[in-house]
Amino acid sequence: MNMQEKTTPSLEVFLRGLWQENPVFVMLLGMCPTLAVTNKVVNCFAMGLSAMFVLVMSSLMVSLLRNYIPKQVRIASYIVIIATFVTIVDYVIQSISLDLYDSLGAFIQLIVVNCIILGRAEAFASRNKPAKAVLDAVGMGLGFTFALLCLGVVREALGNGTLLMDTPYEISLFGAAFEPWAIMILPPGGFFVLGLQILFFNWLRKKLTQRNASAAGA
Amino acid sequence: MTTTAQNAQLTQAPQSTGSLVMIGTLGGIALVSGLLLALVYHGTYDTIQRNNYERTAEAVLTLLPGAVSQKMFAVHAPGPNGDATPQNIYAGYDADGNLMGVALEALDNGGYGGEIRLLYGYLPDKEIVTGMRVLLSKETPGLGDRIKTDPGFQKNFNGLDVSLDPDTRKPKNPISYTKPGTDKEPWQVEGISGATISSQAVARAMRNSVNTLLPIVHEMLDELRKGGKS
Repeated sequence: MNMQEKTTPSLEVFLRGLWQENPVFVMLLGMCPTLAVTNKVVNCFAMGLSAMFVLVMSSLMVSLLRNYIPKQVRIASYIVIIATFVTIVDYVIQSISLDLYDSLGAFIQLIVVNCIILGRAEAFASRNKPAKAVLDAVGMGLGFTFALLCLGVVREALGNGTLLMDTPYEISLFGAAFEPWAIMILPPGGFFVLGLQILFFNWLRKKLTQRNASAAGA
Repeated sequence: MTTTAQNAQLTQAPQSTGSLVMIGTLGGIALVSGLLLALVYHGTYDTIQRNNYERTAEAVLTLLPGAVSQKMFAVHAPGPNGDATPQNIYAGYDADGNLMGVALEALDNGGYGGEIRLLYGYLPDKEIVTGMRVLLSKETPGLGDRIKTDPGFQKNFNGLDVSLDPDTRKPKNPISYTKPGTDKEPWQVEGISGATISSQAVARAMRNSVNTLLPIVHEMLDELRKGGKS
């Protein structure tokens, strides 16, 4: 357990999903919802929190059952567990707001096959104790939500000149003279912003690692 | 976890787990999951139904000026392939129970994001449409999505001419779509620039619904009028 050397394992586990192994910017998982729903900030919140709920609950269940699920049927079991929580989220969102449900479209149901969730179940939750698995899931979930928001804020601001459109908290950013860049709301805008942000976050991470290394060396 | 521990588990597993254990595990998980879903379904059912109902009810009352209450009539109208499909007609009444107008559903699957479902108000006496409200759309936010809010586009539907030919009971002039910025006839819907596909889908939904439902509305006008008094 060389993790314990620098910091407590829990903090390490938690921060990994948020930053070092961010599911979107580093592992490039869950690209489909990332590109599809980030045209509105409110969608990013809803998608991120839904995925986080499913991630946390299924990681907990997978971790609790890790010694009882035979290896041969583990993927099938994980899918059933994940699908259950996704369906719960689906009903809950419908009961909260139909407009939100419409704008997320099929992407709520598609959380079932989101690689982040199955990936964490297989690679982490099935090999760790519940507390650690939940911590990892919260970290990954927040990391996913953070990444969605990074994209959503830029796309909505440039594409519509607002933040939080279609909610009571809508903020207009640039005044009436602003001509929205429609392309940012459309699918190509998603690719542009994602590409640039991956570039930026990789650069930033490299800088930080270099600085840490030189600080440690000195 | 070390890799040796995993390898040990992997090699042991095939011998120690029989089919019964696998079936039991998967069955058990599915059973618990089914129970959980039944509970959640039951718990959210009322709210979801209420959300759906409120969305329609609110739209009906805003579309029909003067209406304070509404009543739903289920009818069968010829669908896209000619079969009778169930449709709802919402009649709006004022405080004395007089028929103020009806709200009708229209839908089209050719929007940019797929299905578009809307409700429009119709005054049988004047034979005009009063307005249109989008109930469900998956159009792109900020672009196609503007069919919901664009004031210019919404104005198309205030007073849209859908008068029927008294003999054939078909619209004299079926609703049609025109490009933004062109001169439009009273029965035409002028699109939004940048949202052509979505506006065309709305015009098409309206045309189909008007063609099939208006004759039915006129046939059952007496029944609709009585509905408010009972």
